[in-house]
Amino acid sequence: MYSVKIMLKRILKYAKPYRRNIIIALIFAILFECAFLYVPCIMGNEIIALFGEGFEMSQLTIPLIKAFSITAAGTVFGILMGRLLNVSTYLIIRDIRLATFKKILSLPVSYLDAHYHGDLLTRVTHDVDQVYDGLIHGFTHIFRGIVAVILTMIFMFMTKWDIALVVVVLTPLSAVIAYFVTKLSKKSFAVQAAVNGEMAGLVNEMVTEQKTVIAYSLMKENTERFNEIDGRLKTAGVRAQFVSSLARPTTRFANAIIYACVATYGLIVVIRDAKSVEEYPALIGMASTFLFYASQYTRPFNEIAEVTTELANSFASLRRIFELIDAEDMVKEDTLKEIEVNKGEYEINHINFAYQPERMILKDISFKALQNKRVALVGPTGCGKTTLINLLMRYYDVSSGEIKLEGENINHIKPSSLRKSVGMVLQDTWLFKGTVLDNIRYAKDGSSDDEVMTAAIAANAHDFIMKLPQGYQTIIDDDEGLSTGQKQLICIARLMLVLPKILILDEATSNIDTRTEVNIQKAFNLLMDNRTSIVIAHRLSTIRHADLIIVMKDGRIIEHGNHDELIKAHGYYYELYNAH
Amino acid sequence: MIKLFKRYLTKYRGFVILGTILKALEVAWELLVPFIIRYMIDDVVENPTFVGDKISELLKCGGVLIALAVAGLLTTLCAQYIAARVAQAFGCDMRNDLYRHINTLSFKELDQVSTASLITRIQTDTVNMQNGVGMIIRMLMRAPIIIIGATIMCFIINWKIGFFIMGFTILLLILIYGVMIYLVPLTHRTQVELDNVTRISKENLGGNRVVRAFNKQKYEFIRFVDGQKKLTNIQTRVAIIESLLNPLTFLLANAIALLVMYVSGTFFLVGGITKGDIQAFLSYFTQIQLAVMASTILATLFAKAYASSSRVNEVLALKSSLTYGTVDKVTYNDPTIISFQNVSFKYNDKANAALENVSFTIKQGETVGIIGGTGSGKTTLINLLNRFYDVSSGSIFFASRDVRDYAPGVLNAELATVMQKAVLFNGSIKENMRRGKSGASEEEISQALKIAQASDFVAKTGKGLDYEIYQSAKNLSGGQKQRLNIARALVKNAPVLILDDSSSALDYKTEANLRHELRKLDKTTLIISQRAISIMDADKILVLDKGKLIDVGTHDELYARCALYHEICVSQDIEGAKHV
Repeated sequence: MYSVKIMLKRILKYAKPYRRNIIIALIFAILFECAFLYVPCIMGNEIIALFGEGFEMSQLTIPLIKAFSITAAGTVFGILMGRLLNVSTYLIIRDIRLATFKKILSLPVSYLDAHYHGDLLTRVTHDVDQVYDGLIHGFTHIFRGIVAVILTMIFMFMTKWDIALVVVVLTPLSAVIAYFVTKLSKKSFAVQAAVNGEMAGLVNEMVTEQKTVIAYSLMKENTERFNEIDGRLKTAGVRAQFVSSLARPTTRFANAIIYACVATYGLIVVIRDAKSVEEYPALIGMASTFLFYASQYTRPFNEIAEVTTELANSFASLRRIFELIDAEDMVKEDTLKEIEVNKGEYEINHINFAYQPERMILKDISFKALQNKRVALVGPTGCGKTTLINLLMRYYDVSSGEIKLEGENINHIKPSSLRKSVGMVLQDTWLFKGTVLDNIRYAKDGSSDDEVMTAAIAANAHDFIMKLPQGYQTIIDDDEGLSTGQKQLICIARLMLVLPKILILDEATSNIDTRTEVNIQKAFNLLMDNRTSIVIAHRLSTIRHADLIIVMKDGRIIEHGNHDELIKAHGYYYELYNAH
Repeated sequence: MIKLFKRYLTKYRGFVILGTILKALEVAWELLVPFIIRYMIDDVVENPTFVGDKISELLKCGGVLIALAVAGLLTTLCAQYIAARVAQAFGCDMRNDLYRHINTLSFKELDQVSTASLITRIQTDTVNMQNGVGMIIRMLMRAPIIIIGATIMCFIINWKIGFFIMGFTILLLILIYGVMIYLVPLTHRTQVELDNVTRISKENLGGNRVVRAFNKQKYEFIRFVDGQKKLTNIQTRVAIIESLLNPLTFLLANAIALLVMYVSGTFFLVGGITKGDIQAFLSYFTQIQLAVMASTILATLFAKAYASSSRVNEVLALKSSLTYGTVDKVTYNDPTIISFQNVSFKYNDKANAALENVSFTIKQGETVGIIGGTGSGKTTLINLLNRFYDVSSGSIFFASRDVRDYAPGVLNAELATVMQKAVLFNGSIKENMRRGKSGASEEEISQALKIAQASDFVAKTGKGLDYEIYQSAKNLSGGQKQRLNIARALVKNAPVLILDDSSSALDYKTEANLRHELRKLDKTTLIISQRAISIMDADKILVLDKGKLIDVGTHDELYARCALYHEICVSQDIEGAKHV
C-alpha cells in the first residue's frame, strides 16, 4: 500500500519547513568531503613530490599553508554541517511524533480498542526513533558516501586516468561481496529472530505465570522445552553472528586487493613514465595520493552497506507510522450542533450494533431513560451491557437505529458537547501520574483546591486521601499506590466536580473491600439523586431501587419493568434473583 | 562483569586464547603492508643500483601483497567464527543458568524483581553480554594491537617521527574520550525525557475513554508537546556534540600529518628519511585513526554489556529462602488434612504482617469458605499453603506433617489451586487441560469442563477441545478464562481443591450451578470469595480482617454473632437463614 516512493515523498513533506537548512547542510557536506579528499592530494602531489634533488625547505611553505587552510575550512564546514543537519532532522522527528500523538487523540475509540495499545505505543515511540536512525541518519550516510565515491573518482581521474581505471575495474568486487554478505546475514538473522520469538513466548509465559507453573509442577517440562529452544537459538545465533561479522573483513579484503593492485601498478607506472631520475619524486608523490585513495576507497561502500539494514527497518517503521496517521478520524465536529441538556433524557430506538458485520452484539434495543429516573442494566457477562454504554457515549456509532439525547439524534451532536452533559464512571478506572489534586481537577480545569476537596468529600474519598503520605499532594499513578476501589472513588470525585445531568455508571464486580464498597455505594446514591442515570448493575439493592430494569441476554432485551413487575412475571429475572 | 566472564568463559579459555592469537596474526599481516610498499619505493623504484628487472620485482611484491590480503581474510574468518561460537555458547550457558536459577527461587525473592524485568534479563541482557563477548574477541583485541603495533613500526622506521605518531594517538584518544565522558550524563537525561514521552502516550492510550469523556484532547496535546520539546532539545544537543568528533579528528589528523611532513622535510635535507618512509608513516597513521574510531563503537557496546552484567548478577545473587525435606509421599492417616498453627507472615521485613497468628484446621471432605476484604490475607493464606512463601512464624501442617518436610513438588501434587488471576498458556484447550494432568483422557477433560460450566462455550467455538488459545488468552472473555482454569484444576484431580476468588467474572446463575456441581464432588474444597453468596453454604467459614482470623463458623452462626460478616452480608443483600 505504501510504496517506498510514496513514503519518501511524504517524508519530504515533513522536511519541507526545514529545507533551507538541509540544503545548506548538504552543500557543507559536499565541501567537507572535498576538503577531506583534497588534502591527501596536496600531500602526495605537491609535498612528497618535492622530496628529490634540489629540495629546499622554503618550497614547503606554500603547499603546507594551502593544505592547512583547506583542513581548517573543512573542519568548519564539517561542524556546521553536523549542527544544521542534526537540528533539522530532530525537528522533523519531533513533527512526526507530534503527528502520531495528535492522531491518537483524534482517533475513534473503536480503532484504539481494535489495536493493541503496546503496538500503538511502539509506533509513537520506537518507530519514530527508528525513522531517525535509519532514514535520516542513513540518508546522510548514503549521501555522503555517494559524494565521497564520486569525488574520489574525479580526483583520481584528474591525477592519472589509467591508475584510476584499475580502481574502477575492481570496484564491483567489493560491491558484490557486500551484497552477498548482507543477503546471507539477513537470512540467518531471520532464522535467529524466529527462534528468539519462540523463546520470548516461552519465557514470558513461564516467568509471568510462575505460580501456576509451581502449582502444577510444570518446572521440569518447561526446563526441557527451554533447553531445547536455547540449543536451537545457539546454533542459529552462531550462524547469524558469524555471517554478520563477515561484513567488515570481507570489505577489508576487497580493499586490500585494490590496494595491492594500485600499489603495484602505480609504481610500475612510475618506472614506465619516468624519462629521467628527476621525474621520480613527482610520480611517486602521485602514487602516494593514489595509495591514500585506495586505502579509503571502500569506506563509503562499507558505510552504505551498514546502513541498508537500518534503512529497511526504518521503512517498515515509517509504514507503520503512516498507517496510524492515515487512520480515519472521528467525526468532524464542525458540522455538528452544540446541545443544551436540561431534562437529561435518552431515547434509544431500535438500535442494532456489530463490531464485525457478521456478529451482531446488540439486536433491536429500545428503551427510554427519562428525566431523573434510574435505569438498571442487568444480564450475564457478554450480553452487551458495556457495548450499549459505548454507544450512549458515542465511542462507537450504531449500525442502525438511533439514539436521541434531549430529542436530538446524537449523530448530529458534537461528541464534546454530548460528553459535557453525560458523566461516566467505568470499572476500569484511569488515573494519570500526578497529584491526587490534579487527578480530580482533571474533570474541570481551573477549579480551586477547595472545590476539589468538596468534591472529594462528597465522593467519600476525602478520608482515605488524607491518609496518603502527602494527602492531596501525593503523586499517584494508574499502576500503583491505590487499590481499585480507591481509584474508583477518585473517579467519582471527578464527577462530583462537574455534576453532569446524566450519569452512566458501571458497578464494580469484585476486588473491592466491603468498606470501600459501601463508600462507593453511598457516593453513587448521592450522585444519582435528581439525575438521570443508567447503571450496569450487579448489586441487588441498586437493581431493586431502579425505576426501570432492563434485562439483557445475548444482545437482546428479554424483559423490562421494575422489580415487582419482573418478579411477578416469573421469567428470567425471577430465576436470576432467586439464584441468590 | 569480570566475574561473569570468568565464570562462563573459563570453559572456553582455549578458544579465547586462540581467537586472540588469530587477531594478532591478522593485524600483523596488515602492519606488514606499508613495509612492503616502502621496500617497493625505496629499494626498487628509487634504487639506482637495483640489479635486475624492476617491473618483475614490483609484480612479485604485488603478489606478496595479495597473498597477505588472502592470509588476512582467512585468519579473520577463523577468528570471527571462534568469536561467534564462544559468544553464543557463553550466552546459551548463561541463559540456561538464569532460567534454572529463577525456577529455584521462592516468591519472596522473585517479588524483589518484577517479572517484566526478569524477562528482559533472560532475553535482552544475555544478548547484550553475548554481543559484548563477540565484539571483545573481534574488535577490542584488534584496536590496541593495531595502535601499539603501528606505533612500534613507526619507531622502527624513524624513532623521532615515532614520537609524533604517539602524540597523535594520545591526543585522539583524549579527544574521543573527552567527548564521550561529556555525553554520558546527557544520554541518561535523554532516557528520562524519552520515558516521560512514553508515559504520556501510554496514559492517553489507556485512558482514551476518559480523555474523550472530559474533552481533554487539547490539554493532553499540550502536555505531550511540552515533553517532546524537552526531548528534542536534549537529543539535538547530544547529536551536535557527537557530530563534532568527525571534523575534529580530521583537523587533528591533518595537522599532525602536515607537521610530520614539515619535520620530514628537515630530515630529508640531511638524508635521514626516504619517500618510502613517509609513505609508511602516512599508512600507519590512517590505520591508527581507523582503529581508534572503531573503538568508540566498542565503548558504547561495552557500557551496555556492563549494565546488563550487573542486572544478570543481581538475579544470580538471589538465594532461595526455601529449604525442602525428604518426605516424598503424603499419607493420610488423620481426618484433619490441613492445620495452621499460630501462623504469621510478612511479605518483607518492612511490610505489615499479612497474616497474624492464624490457627485453624480443615478436615478431609470439608468445604471451607474464606471471606474478607482486600488486604485481609485471604490470598496470602493460599500462597502459604502452596508454599509459594514460607511462614514467618508458626507452622502449617498438611496430612499431619509440616509442609517444609516434604520434598519439592510433593505438596503441590496434592493441591489443585485455581489462582485469582486466570492463567492459560498458548496452545489448544486440550493441551491446557493436560497441564493439569499430562495424558488426561478426553473423557476426563470433558467431564471437568462440564463441572466447570465450560462445556457450552467450548462446544460453541466449533473446534471443541482443539480450539487454540492465543497468548494471554486474548480470545477468551474473563469468565471463560476463569471457567477453564477451574476445569484444569479439576483435571488434576488432587485431593484438595482451592478456588481463590476464581469465579468473580461469572454471573450469579452460572456460579450457582458451578457451586452445585462442585459440592457433588465431595472433595476437600477451599473457596475464597468477596461475595458472601459464594461461600455461605460451606461447612465452615473463616472470616479474615487485616491479617487476623476473627471468627470461624457456619453462615448462620456468623450472621448472628460476627459483626463484620453481618456487615458484608447486609451490604450484599443477603439475609440470615433465607437460603440455607
